[in-house]
Amino acid sequence: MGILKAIAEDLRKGEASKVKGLVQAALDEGASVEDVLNEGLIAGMTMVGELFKENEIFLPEVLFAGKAMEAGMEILRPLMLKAGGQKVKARIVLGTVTGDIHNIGKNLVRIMLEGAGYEVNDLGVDVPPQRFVDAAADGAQIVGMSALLTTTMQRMKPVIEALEKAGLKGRVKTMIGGAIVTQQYADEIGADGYAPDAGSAVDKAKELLGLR
Amino acid sequence: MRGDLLERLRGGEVLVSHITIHGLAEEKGRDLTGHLSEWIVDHPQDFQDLIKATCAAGSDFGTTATQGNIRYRLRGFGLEDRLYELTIKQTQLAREATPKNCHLKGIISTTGRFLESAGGDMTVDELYESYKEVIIPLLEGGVDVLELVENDTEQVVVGIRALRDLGDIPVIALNFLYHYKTGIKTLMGVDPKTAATRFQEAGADVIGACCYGGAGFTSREDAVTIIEETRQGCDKPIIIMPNQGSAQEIDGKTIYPVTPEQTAKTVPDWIAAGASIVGGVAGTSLEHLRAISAAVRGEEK
Repeated sequence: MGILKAIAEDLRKGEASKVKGLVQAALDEGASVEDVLNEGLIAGMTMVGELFKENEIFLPEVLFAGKAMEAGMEILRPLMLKAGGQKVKARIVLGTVTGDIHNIGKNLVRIMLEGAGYEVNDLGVDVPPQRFVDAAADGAQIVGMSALLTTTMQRMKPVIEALEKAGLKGRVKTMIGGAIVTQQYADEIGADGYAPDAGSAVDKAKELLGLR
Repeated sequence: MRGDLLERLRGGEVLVSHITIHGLAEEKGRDLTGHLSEWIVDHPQDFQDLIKATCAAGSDFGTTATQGNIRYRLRGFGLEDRLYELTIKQTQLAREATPKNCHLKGIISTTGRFLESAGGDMTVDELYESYKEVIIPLLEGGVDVLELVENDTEQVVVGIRALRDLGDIPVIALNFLYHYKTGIKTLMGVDPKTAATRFQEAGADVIGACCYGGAGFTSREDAVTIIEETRQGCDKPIIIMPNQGSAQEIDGKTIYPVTPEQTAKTVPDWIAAGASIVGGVAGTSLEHLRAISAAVRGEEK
C-alpha cells in the first residue's frame, strides 16, 4: 500500500502532523491497525535506526522521528486497546542506575525500542535495584541499564544480582550501555548484552529475545 | 596581577584551564553520586583548598564549579529551589580562594534537555531565563569570565545572549564533540568549523571543545583535529580540554590511563595547531596540571 510507505517516509523525516494525517487516512482506506503499525510506523523507525547507526542522521532527527511515531500511535493505541490489546512483542524496562542522572542515551534507546514495536517502561534516572526488579517482575523480558560514570557503572552489577535473587535470571535478560561501559565490563558483571548506541540496542534486544 | 584575559590571549599567551574539581573532590571523600554543589557548600574549606591547589599546580583559572547549577540539572536532586543560594555561595568561595594572578571562571554546563528546534521540548525563552538564573549570582559573586559548555551549539548561543543582557565579561563557548563515521560532530550533527562560526557570530570571545573519551566521545587523540577544524570557522582564541584517557575501575578506584608525562608531550601539538587555552577534563589530576603548565611554559620562549 503506497500510503503505508508514505507514512514510513514521513516518519523518517520527522513530520509528525503528516504522519498523523496519513495514519488516519490509511485506516479510513481500510488498512489494518497491524499493517499501519508494522509497515508504516515501525518501518519508518527502522529506517531511522539504520540511518542513525550509519551516522547519516543525528539526535534531533531521531527525536523528531520519535515524535512522529508518537503522533501515529496516538491514533492506533486506542484502537489496539479496543481490539483487546495488540500482542506485545516484548516488554523492556529501562533506567539509569542509582546516583546517575544522565539520560540522553537512554532516552534515545527508548525511542528506538518503541519505534521497533517494543513496550518500554522507562524508570527514569537514579533508579535503585529494587525498582528494576519490581518492574521486571511485571512481565518484562529485558532490563536495560545505563550509566555514564565509572562510579555509577558499579551499580549495574547489584541490579543483576537483585534480579537473580528475585528468581528472574534467565527469564529476564539484561543489557547495559553508556559511554563508559564496554562489552568487557558487560561480560565481567554477567550482563547478557551490551550495546554502544541506540541503534545497536535494538539489534541486541532482538538477539536477546531470539529474534535474530 | 592577572591582567585582562582577552588582552593576555591577544598578546599570544597560552593559558591553562580545567574542568576537574568534581573528580578531585573524590579524593576529598566526595560521593560522586550526589550533586557537586551540595558537597561544595557542605565542605567549603575542601573546595577552596582544591581551587588553591589547582592554581598552584599551574591552572590560570579558578572555577565556581557550577557546571551542574542550571535548574534542570538541580531538579533531579531536589535542589532547584536552592539554585541562587548554591551558586552565589560557590562563587563567593571561589572568588576568595582564586589567587590574584588567576581568572575566576563561572561555568554552566549542559542542560540535559533539547530545544524544540532540535526535537526537544524546551523553548528558547525558557532556556534564556534558565541561563539568567545562574548568570546573575555568578556575576554578583564576581566571576571574571563565563564558560558555557553544551551538546547543542544553539543553547550556548542563547546563553551568550543572556550574559550580554546582564554583563560585559568575556565568554568561553565550548561543545562536547563525538566521533561519527562521517567525522567529528556534536550530538546535533554540527561539525567544529560550523560550531565555531556560530559561536563567533553569537559573540563568544574564546571558542573550543571538551573531549570526554568513552564510547562515541572524542578523546585526546582528536584534539589537534578539533583545533584545526575550529580554526577554520573562527578567528577567536581556541580552547581545548581533553580527558586523560578512558576511565577504568580498578579495585574500586577510578583510574585514567594517560600519565601526566604523556599529556605534556601532546601539549606542544595543541599549541602548534592553534590552541590558546589548554587543559583537561575527566581524570586531570594536579600532576597533569603541573605537567601541562610546564609544557606550556616550555613552549613560551
